Order: sequence, then structure tokens, then C-alpha cells
Amino acid sequence: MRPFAYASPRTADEIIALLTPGSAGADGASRPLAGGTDLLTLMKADVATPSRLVDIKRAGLPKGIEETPPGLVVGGLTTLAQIETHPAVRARYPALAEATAVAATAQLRNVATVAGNLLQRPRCWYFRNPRIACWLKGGDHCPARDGENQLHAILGGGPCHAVHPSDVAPALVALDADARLRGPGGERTVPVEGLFAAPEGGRRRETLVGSDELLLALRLPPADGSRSTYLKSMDRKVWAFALAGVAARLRLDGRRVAEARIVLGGVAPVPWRAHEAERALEGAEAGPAAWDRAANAALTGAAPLRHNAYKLPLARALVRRALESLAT
Amino acid sequence: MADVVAAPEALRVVGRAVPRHDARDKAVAATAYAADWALPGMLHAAVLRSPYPSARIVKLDTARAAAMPGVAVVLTARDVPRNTLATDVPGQTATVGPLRATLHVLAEDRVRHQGEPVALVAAETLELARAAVEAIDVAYERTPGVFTPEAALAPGAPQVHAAGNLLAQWRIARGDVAAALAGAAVVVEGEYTTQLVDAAYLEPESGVAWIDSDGVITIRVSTQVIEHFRDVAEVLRVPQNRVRVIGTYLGGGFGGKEDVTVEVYLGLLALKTGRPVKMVWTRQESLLARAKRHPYRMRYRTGATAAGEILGQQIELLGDAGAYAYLSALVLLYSTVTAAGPYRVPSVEVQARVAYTNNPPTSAMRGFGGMQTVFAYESQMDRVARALGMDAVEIRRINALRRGDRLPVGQVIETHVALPELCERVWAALEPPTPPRAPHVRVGLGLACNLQPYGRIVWLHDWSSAWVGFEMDGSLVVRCGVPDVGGGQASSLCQIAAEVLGVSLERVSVHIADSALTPLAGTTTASRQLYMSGNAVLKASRELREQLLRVAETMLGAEAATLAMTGDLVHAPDGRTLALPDLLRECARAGVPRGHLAVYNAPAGEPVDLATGSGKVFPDYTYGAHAAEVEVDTETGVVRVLRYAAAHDVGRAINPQSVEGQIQGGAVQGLGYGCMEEVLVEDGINLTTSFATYLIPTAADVPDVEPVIVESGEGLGPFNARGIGEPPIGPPAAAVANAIADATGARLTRLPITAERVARALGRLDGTN
Ligand SMILES: Cc1cc2nc3c(=O)[nH]c(=O)nc-3n(C[C@H](O)[C@H](O)[C@H](O)COP(=O)(O)OP(=O)(O)OC[C@H]3O[C@@H](n4cnc5c(N)ncnc54)[C@H](O)[C@@H]3O)c2cc1C
Ligand code: SF4
Repeated sequence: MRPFAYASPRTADEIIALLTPGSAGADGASRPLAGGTDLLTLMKADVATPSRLVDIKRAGLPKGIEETPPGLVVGGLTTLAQIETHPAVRARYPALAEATAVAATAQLRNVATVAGNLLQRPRCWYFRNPRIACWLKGGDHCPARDGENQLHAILGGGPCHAVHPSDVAPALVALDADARLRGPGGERTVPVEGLFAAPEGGRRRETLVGSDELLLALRLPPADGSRSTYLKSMDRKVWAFALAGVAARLRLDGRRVAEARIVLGGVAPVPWRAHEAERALEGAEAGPAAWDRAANAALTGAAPLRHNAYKLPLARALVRRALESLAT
Repeated sequence: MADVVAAPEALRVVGRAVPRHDARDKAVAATAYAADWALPGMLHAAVLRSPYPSARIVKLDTARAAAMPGVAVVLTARDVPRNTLATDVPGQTATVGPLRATLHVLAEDRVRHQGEPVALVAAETLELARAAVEAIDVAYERTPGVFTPEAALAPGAPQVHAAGNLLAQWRIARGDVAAALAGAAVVVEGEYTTQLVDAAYLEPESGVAWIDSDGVITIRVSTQVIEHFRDVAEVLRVPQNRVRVIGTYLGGGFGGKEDVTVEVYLGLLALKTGRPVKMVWTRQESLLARAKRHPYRMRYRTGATAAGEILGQQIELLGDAGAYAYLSALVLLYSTVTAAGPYRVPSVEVQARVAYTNNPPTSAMRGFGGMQTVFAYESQMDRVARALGMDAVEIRRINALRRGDRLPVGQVIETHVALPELCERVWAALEPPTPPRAPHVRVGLGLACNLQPYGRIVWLHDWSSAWVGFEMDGSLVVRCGVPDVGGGQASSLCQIAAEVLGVSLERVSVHIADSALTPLAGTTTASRQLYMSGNAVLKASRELREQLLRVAETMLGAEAATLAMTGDLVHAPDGRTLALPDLLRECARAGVPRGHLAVYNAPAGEPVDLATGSGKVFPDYTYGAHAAEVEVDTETGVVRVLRYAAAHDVGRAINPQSVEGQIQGGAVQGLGYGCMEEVLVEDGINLTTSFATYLIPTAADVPDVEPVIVESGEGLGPFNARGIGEPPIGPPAAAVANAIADATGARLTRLPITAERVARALGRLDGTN
């Protein structure tokens, strides 16, 4: 790890000032530090080399879960462990509780924050190798495309084929959560889905959150009779990233599907909203035929690489089983 | 006809599941592992490693790094008194020619694998040492490399070493295989591929060295082989008696600490600086650069009669040695000798080769070449059985080796082979079958057997020595140079001495693994330590007993042969007893030593010509049978091992708890090999240098492993024990593959068995592109 400076401001404004290029005290390579479980790992591997870490844990930023009936607000600094064990989350937003519970390890979840989880970088092994100047790191080609791509994207890949590693993000997208951000120009609120965009052109990141912005909090709308779940498949039973994950939410009106969200994790550079699957479900009668149609539709446009075609049947099965579990 | 075995003798301490003396210390974190050591004024060391798999070093300037404040020394190949170590590689000379393999302490003009050490730094802190490593001015010019053994052996391939890329070759030709296959009712062909895996021990390579007050270079290190003090002396060009290695209790070795790791570097740095030096490799370094298990490509043709008798087997093995020879030639020899499995096969032809590549080096790892072949020969057995509609146990029972049979290499099996019993026991342990829990799930059972040598190759003339002696108060001391890798090596020795000399286990203390102060016992490898050092302690204890009873004889006025030693007393036939301190005082007065050194020599032999199948290669073998019940998700290819049973004939379980530990640990490590682990190397670049990408099983991934201990009383070790360190890692991959075949009909021939490969084998990936 390279030497770096450390600041621990007491207010959000001071943090943002330190993060804003051109403003007093900023040097353009400051990064916010939350739990540090991803950022420090990247620094140890020499992949991230910020000159300063700005600790955001002492500035009174939102942390913890606040019940704001009929919804819920989750502070950006809330740990995954807090979310996974929170009674209201478990009761009303099971997809979120389940997604946090299967992310990382218990030790990591005790320090990892939800904001950090959404903003973690890809686990692509070329990306994490400091000696490989892949496209996402400013190079001119993606070695994964024709290389060891068994863990890579089957949907929406190119020029980068890395998958978004978060389990939590698909759950939040499926729950129609919003994110409150704060930057030099003030605050803005966007759907969580809108935080992500596949890297392209000059933007070699997976997020639209500015490098001078703070993710303050997430707001979950009323659950409104929806049921939700998150299913994940891994190379081992625990402590691994998703080969594929699915967050599903259904609102049933009798036997008809009134509203559906299907969001896939681990298969695309962003949490993948399966619009076609949702369309196939909405208005349909709940049951195996609809689940099958949705499962097939979810993978519309899939373009597997040499070693990752197995993710198609995997993701399909997860979608089908998630829907089955919600309707019984 | 059933082979008869003798009834075991009744014992007092041996055979009981006594708590190990080292277990409590480990549980309460009191064990001082190698990295836990510190000395005043100690420096910290770091290694500069090559980022490239194949390159010339065109510039190596250490001036800037050496000038950094707090940096004590920066060393390159030029600073190493003897930088090149040469060994003669065994291998059948007719085809390979006599081969001198060279290994450099630090790279000279070339690097041959990613992670190869180029320079060393010792500094006041670890951070400084790492900063100095980065400050070394080094430039490389990349050169073409070879990354598969097939490519390495192709004409015109870049040469990893001047002597060519074929490192070793072994052949066995026994009987007429072509005729056997031609006459077979069924011939099954298979090609199997195994992967590169890491030992992945909890404790990375580590140690501390210092120059002791007597001037001796002393190295306290995590190693399976304290005899490497000789290698350190050779590199430093000092007499061998000026180097001392103290082995610590290990946090795992699995063969990865059989070759030299940090000790030569530590010796060099201590000698150059005159100060204590510590070196601890990071997990990334360990995963990047340490020797691993050989990937193999194996081709098998197996022919059998309609009744299921195996007639012949034609086998080709090709292994990847990586960039340096290490123990590859011997690993390949193990594979060659065990290639046909624990079966009576009249005609066998084995062609085995191992080639240099620019991949990470491979060397010893638990199973030592006896492992890869299990996956192949047990998959073949299963296929033959399926082709003939035979039961898995039945085909193994028919073909199992028996006492008096010959292995393909010509070695006569001299001890009992319990294979049929082992198969029946594990098969029964998994009754009744688990019903599938969902329509998309299939459940199947798989069986796999193995044989694994214990003890070193007979022409290496293996020996071990131990000293056993009493203190005046009747407490007992065992001194033996065994490194304890966590298998209970030290505590088993205590049990043996306690048994023979009639003292309670609490009254025994053991000093191990000090090349200067404990009698040398050889390596903790090759499943040999209980066998060899157990026999040395047994011999020392028995001879000491005789020595003491000759004194007791006069004191008690009863013949030595009638005396018993138990409960810290000597008992006369008439019920009189003699307290040990009284006996020991009398010994002191009479000038009879209270301690005794014994050397145990393993049965030795001359090198055999494998090709003509002329004789004995290993002292003996341990046999096993494992059974797995797996569940296959036929939609996704995800496999779960539901239940697992593992049986081994250990001859005699000295400590059943330690034996169970070896069986369960080995099975779990073998399941990791079968289902999950893979060091992924692309064109020589290792992509899996952390535990986030190199996955090993967790407790959630493996079922309870039910150990089945069979005691035939037929081993060559103390109290007829057999080695059990390595054998249990062998069968799991094949047991799982056979269970998947049972569940789905799909045959997995490539490890690890991932969801991707299962989905492919099930045809789930057809038409997805
Ligand atoms: C071994 C391992 C296994 C894991 N397995 C999983 C898994 O299975 N599933 C899964 O979903 N995740 C997994 N993770 C990822 C883990 O959940 C994330 O590392 C963690 O959530 C990041 O949170 P943090 O607080 O530590 O973030 P940090 O590491 O502190 O920050 C991560 C990034 O977010 C930025 N950041 C943090 N907070 C804010 C904020 N409020 N506003 C703006 N920017 C911010 C930082 O600058 C940095 O760029 C795993 C991680 C590890 C190390
Ligand atoms: S997939 Fe993306 S992160 Fe991985 S190598 Fe390609 S460009 Fe880099």
C-alpha cells in the first residue's frame, strides 16, 4: 500500500470540500472512506491509489435505520449487519434482509456499509491485478473478453465485461428505493437504479455518483402488500460473490400479478433490471407458466462469453424459483 | 480365499483417544508459531519478485533502495555465496538422459515464473522493507514462454532450461496390454484433467533467524524438514554444524513446506547483517509463488472381462512441473507406481512425463502424485462397472489386490489389503439413500478407493532416530527431530513411549524438531513420521526398558522377563513393586544410563527398473474407500455433497482421535480439490492470489465426514500402524464424480467439478449461445 494522508472532518460540507477538485484542500485524489472493506483492499492491491482518505464516519452522516411510516430510511453509513437483523426490514423488505445476509462474511458485514456496498468496484481478476492495465483502468483492451471469463457478464457487457458484485443493489432496485446524494451543488434524489450505468467511453466507472458526492441515505417506499426475496448462487455455500443473484418483488391481486420487479445481480456490469420479464409477468396469472415465461424473458439479449454460458440456466432457475417462492 | 490377520494385542495408552498435549495450547492461542517469535533488534525482511513468467533481467540496481534510511541490507544473486543449487533428477535415463536440475536462491539473468525471487531486503520495519523492495531499480525484457506441458514438449518450443523441457519420464510395461485390450469384453477410454491447487495452509511461510551467542546461525521456522539446515549451510558456504534449524509447531504444511521456503533467505540476511531477521510471506505471496500440486492430463484405456475382471490398462500421464524441478520427478514416480490403483491388473503400460513450463512451480503436496491418478483410475472403474451393469462394490471386490499379488511395478504386496471390507463399510454407512427434495434434483452415490504409499522409496534408505530417557523423579523425556505439522506427530510418540515404559501420559514430555538438540528423524512427509519415528521411539523405549529391567531384576530378585512396567511402577510376579525413582537411583549408582538413543532403519532396497517391473519401490501402502452421496441440481449444475463416509485400514490407530482428524481433514481437503479449488494461471499470470478468488471449502460446504477406522494389525509402523497422513485426500474427487454419474449419467472428467462443468455435461448449455 502506498502512503496516503488521512482526514476526518466533522461536517458533511468539510468532507465535500475535501472531495471537490479545485476547492480549498482538495487535491483531486481524495476518496471517502466508510468501512474500508473494499477501498483498503484495492489500495493494498495497488489498484486504487488515492493520496488522501477522507473518513466520513465522524461527520454525523445518517447511520442506522429510521422508520418513516409507511416507508423506511436507511442511512448510507448503516452496516450490512444492522440491515440484515432489523425487524422492519425483515418483515417488510425481505429481499433486502436476505441480500445483506448472504453478502460477504459476518465479520465484513459488521463494518461494511450499505453505501460502500453500492459503490464497490468490480471483482474481475484482471481489474484487481495491479500489473494488468485493462480497459476499465484506462487501458485499451479487455483481457476478460477472450480470457478467463467464467465469472463475467452475460448481459450488457462491453467494452467492460465485469459484473456488478453487489447483492444489495439488486434488492434495492427491486424495492424501488431512492438514493439521497449530496455534492458541492447541494442535494439530489435519484432512484437507486439510476446510480448505475455500464462504463463506456471516457467514463470508466460503474456509477453515476460523482467523485465529489456523498451517498447520504436510501429511502424505501411503502411495501404495499408486495412480497420480495433474494436468491443467490455461489461457487461455495457462503463467503463468495454471486455467480448469479435475483431480487424479485411481486404484488399480487388475487391470482393476477399486479406489479413485478426482477433484478439480476452478478450477470451484468450493473444491477440488471429485467424489464421483459416484468412485462411478461404484469397482468399474468400467477403460476408455473408465467414463471417460466418470465425466467426466459429475463435473459433476453444475453450474450455469453466462452466460459460463462452456465449463468443462463442458473439465472433462469433462480428467477423461476424466486417467483415460485413468492407465490406460495 | 480370505486373507487372515492376527488379533491385536491389548494395550493401555496406545489405541486410546487421549487428548493431545498440543491441542489445548492451540485452542487458547498459546502456541508460539514461527511468526509469533520476536527478538530484540530484529529486522524485517521482504522479497522482490518477478512480475513476469518469462523474462531477462536487463537491469538490477539496488543502490537507491540500499541507501534508504532504516534499510539494513539489499541482496541480489551476486551476494549469495552459492547461488545455484544443483540436484540430479531421477528419471529413466534411457529416454531423458541424466539430468542436473538447477535452482537459484535468487534469480540471476532470467526469471522463469511469476513470483520468482529476485532480491531480498532487511530493514528496521516491515513497511520500510516493502518500500525498499519497490525502490529497487529493476528492468525486464519479456521473453516467450510456454504455459502448458503439451506446448513445452512441442518441437521448437521456447526452452525453460537449457537441458530441454522434458524434466522426467517413467515407464512401466508389464504384460501385453495390446493383447489384453483386444481380448477384453469391454474397453473403456477416458481422458481426465486435474488442476493446479495450493496447499492453502492457515499459516503462511514464516520464520526468524539470528546468530546465537555461540556463533551458530539459528533459524526458527515453520518447516516440514529441519534437515534443510544443510541446504542453508551449502548456500552460505559454512560448515553444516554452524547452522541450526528449530522447527515450530506448524499451522499446516501439506507438502508446501517440504522444500526450502524462507530459511535460506533468513540465514543469508542474518549472516549479512549480524542481526535477528524475521520473514513472513503474505497470503498473496504464498498463493503467487509457492510450489503447488501438479496439474495432470491423463489418458486411460481399461479392458475387462464380461465378469468384470480387469485385464489391462494403458495409461498416459503428463504433468506440469512449472519452472523448476523441485520434487516433480518423484511426484511423477508416485503417480506411475499407483496409476493402476489398488487392483490386480495383469497387463499394464504406463507412460508418464512431466515437463517444465513458465507456470508456478509444482512439487510436493499431500498425496504426492498418488492423488491425481485416483480421479482417473476410480472413474475408469466406475465406467467399467456401469458398462457391465455391475455393482460398484462388487467390481472392486473382484479386482482388489491381495497379499502376494504384484503391483505393475513388480512389487509384491506383503500385507493384508482390506479393500472389500472398506468398501462395504462406507457403502453401508450411507444407507438409506436420501430422497430427492425437489423434482429438479437428483441424488446419487459414488464410491472411490485408493492406495497411497507410506514411507519413503526404499532405495532412499530412510531412517529415523529418537532418544527416550527418564529424569530422576520418574518423569519421561522423548527427544526426536520430528516436525509436528498439526497431525499429532509429537503426541503419538508420547503415547508409544508411555505404553512401553508404563508411565502415565502426563509424565511424558517431548522435545521435537531441533536439528542441534534432537536426534534427527527425517522429514514429516510421505506419511512416514508415525511409521519411522514411531518405530524409532518404540525401539528406543523397548531397549531402554530392557536396560532398566536388568537393574530391576537384581533389585526385585525376579527375572527381567517376568517384570511388568505399568502405572509408574515396576511389578514383580509376586505382587511386589518398585517405584521408578528408586530404580533410577540404583541405575545412577550402577552406572546404567537412564536414557537411550535408537535408530530405526526402514527396509531398504536397490533402485528398481520400473519398465521391467523388477521389485519393491515403497515399504508398504495404506488403502482406503470413500463414499459420497451428492445432490445434483439438474437445471443449474450446482452439486452439493449431502453425506460422506471415509474408511481406511490404518493397521492400528495409535490415537483414534488423531486418525479421525486426518481422515476428516483429508476428505474435506479432497472435496475442495474435487469441487472448488483452482489456481487459475493464464499465460503464466496467476489470477487467484487471494482467498477471495482462490476458494477453499467452508464448514457450510462439506457434510459431516463419517470416519471409519479399520485396524487390520498389518502395518509396518509401531504396533502395526500404517501411515494415514496423506491417504484420505485421494478418493473424494472420484467419489463425487462417480456419484454425479450415478445421479445423472453425466461423466465429469475435469477438476474442479464446478456448476459450469456439470451444466455443460448435462447438456444444459446447448443452444444457449
Ligand atoms: C472478502 C469479501 C467478500 C465480499 N462478498 C460480498 C458479497 O458476497 N456480496 C456483496 O454484495 N458484497 C460483498 N463484498 C463487498 C462488501 O460488501 C463491500 O466491500 C462493502 O459493503 C463496502 O462497504 P465499506 O463501508 O467497507 O466501503 P469502503 O470500502 O469504505 O468504500 C467503498 C467505496 O465506496 C465509496 N464510499 C463509501 N461510502 C460512501 C458514501 N457514503 N458516499 C460516497 N462514496 C462512498 C468509497 O470511497 C469507496 O470508493 C465482499 C467484500 C469482501 C472484502
Ligand atoms: S471485464 Fe472490465 S474490469 Fe475486467 S478486464 Fe475487462 S475491462 Fe477490465
